Amino acid sequence: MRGVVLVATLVTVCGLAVTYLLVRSTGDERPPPPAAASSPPASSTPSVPALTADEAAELAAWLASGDPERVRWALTVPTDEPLDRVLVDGLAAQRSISIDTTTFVTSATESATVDAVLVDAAGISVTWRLTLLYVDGGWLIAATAPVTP
Amino acid sequence: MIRRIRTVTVAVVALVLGLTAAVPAAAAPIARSEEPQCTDRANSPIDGLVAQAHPVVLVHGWNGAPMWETRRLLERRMPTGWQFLLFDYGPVTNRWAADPEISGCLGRYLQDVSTAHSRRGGDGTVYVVAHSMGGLATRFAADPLYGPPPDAGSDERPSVAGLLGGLVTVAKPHQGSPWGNTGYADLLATLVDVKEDFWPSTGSPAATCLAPHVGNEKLPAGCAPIPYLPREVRVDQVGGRGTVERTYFGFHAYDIDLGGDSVVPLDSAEGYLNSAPGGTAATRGMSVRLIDDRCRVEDMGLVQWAAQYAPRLDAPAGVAGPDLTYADRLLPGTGLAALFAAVKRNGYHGPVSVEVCAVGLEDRPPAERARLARTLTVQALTASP
Repeated sequence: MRGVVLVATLVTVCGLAVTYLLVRSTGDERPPPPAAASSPPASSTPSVPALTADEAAELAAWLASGDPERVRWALTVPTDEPLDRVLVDGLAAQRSISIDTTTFVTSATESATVDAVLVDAAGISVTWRLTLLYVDGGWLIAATAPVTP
Repeated sequence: MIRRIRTVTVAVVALVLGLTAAVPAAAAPIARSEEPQCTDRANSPIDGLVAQAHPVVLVHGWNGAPMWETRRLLERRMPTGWQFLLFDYGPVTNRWAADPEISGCLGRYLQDVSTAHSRRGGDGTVYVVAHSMGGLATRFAADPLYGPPPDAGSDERPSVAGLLGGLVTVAKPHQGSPWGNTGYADLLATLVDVKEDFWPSTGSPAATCLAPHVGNEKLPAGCAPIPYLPREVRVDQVGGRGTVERTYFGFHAYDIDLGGDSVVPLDSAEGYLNSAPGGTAATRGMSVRLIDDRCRVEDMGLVQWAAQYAPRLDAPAGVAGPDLTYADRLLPGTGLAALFAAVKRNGYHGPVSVEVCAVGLEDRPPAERARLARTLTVQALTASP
């Protein structure tokens, strides 16, 4: 039990530290999404808009842009953390990236999942489940995990 | 990650032990006086020692448990030539390592092991592998001032250091931990007392004395400075350094260097030679070796999960990401209770974080904070999804 407490505490500390690193700033240069004009009002029943087709297309375009700054706009990455070119080039090399908004599911007030399909240069497609966070009035990709058939 | 680190660490320890030369040492006769209270411990029995195998005592860290799993893995890797024994100071884990019921009991146990080994024809040399504060306890145990009391009829305290063939420290905070002497350490200490049903908390000298210190920096008041081992005792320091690899769509994005194992920085884990506060200088001729135990984790699921959700589990309703600050945090279940339910519905059964810095809590004593956090966490986790 003592070990569990220690591990849980370590995980908490580690998780919070990583969280801080991940979300302390997420793209100051990103153009403000339509909903970012004002902060969501405080209420007892908060809601966030679903990911629209236009927003999904915009996210996909940023991912495939080959431009590190634009790729960053789509992700919850600290602004002072340089992105590996492997990621930028790898995404740019995809034949297509499409985010299927019909799979969008809000799992909490400010988080959601949505599936995306990446088709590589060889024509092989892989489906990824994206975890989205609603940050600064728009949806950002916090994590990705392959969807096993 | 813990399992990976443990596995790698065991491999490193096995290597170190395999390379460490045996140093014959005579065992002192055991006669007892002014014994510290060392009962209620889960120490390994010593009646199974044999001459052909070197005894290795595994000493756990603060808030740790006897190192059963480490022993199992070491026994698998090193089935002959070594006998692994466990020393336990769990009942007094919140005390500083210099406490007689930690260092004194450890010293006495090392004596007993050495004597038993000698009586069976061995050389009486004992090796120690110590995790975290267990390494500090070993340094104290080997110092006559903090080791076992004098034998009956003698004014001199026995020399435990002379029994040691070597010390392997694993993630030992030679120079303390950034978490030492902080609210986090106090809370952790209190949670241990909660588990043990010790109310109210008796406080934790260990939590205080594990404060960071380098060179001549003094430890907090009341913390005995940590003595060096005699230079004849070889010290091998194993330090862990974790790196979280962030990936998106399987492509590497960037790394998060934890600078250590997230509790003990690498500089501290390998900082033996600059670790004696109070002006004690390291002795020339010490044999010290550093071993980095590096671990890379690709999008570690748990950290990833925490990274995604930790700041939001405690968010009050209606406060969105950019507006969320530490000051907004709430105790588990009092904010986005629906998220707990959603996480549970999705089949998550792992650890969750407990917020202890919420508004209104800062002035409460750690014991009260811990009790309240525990109560609300249990309620949140046991509520129907």
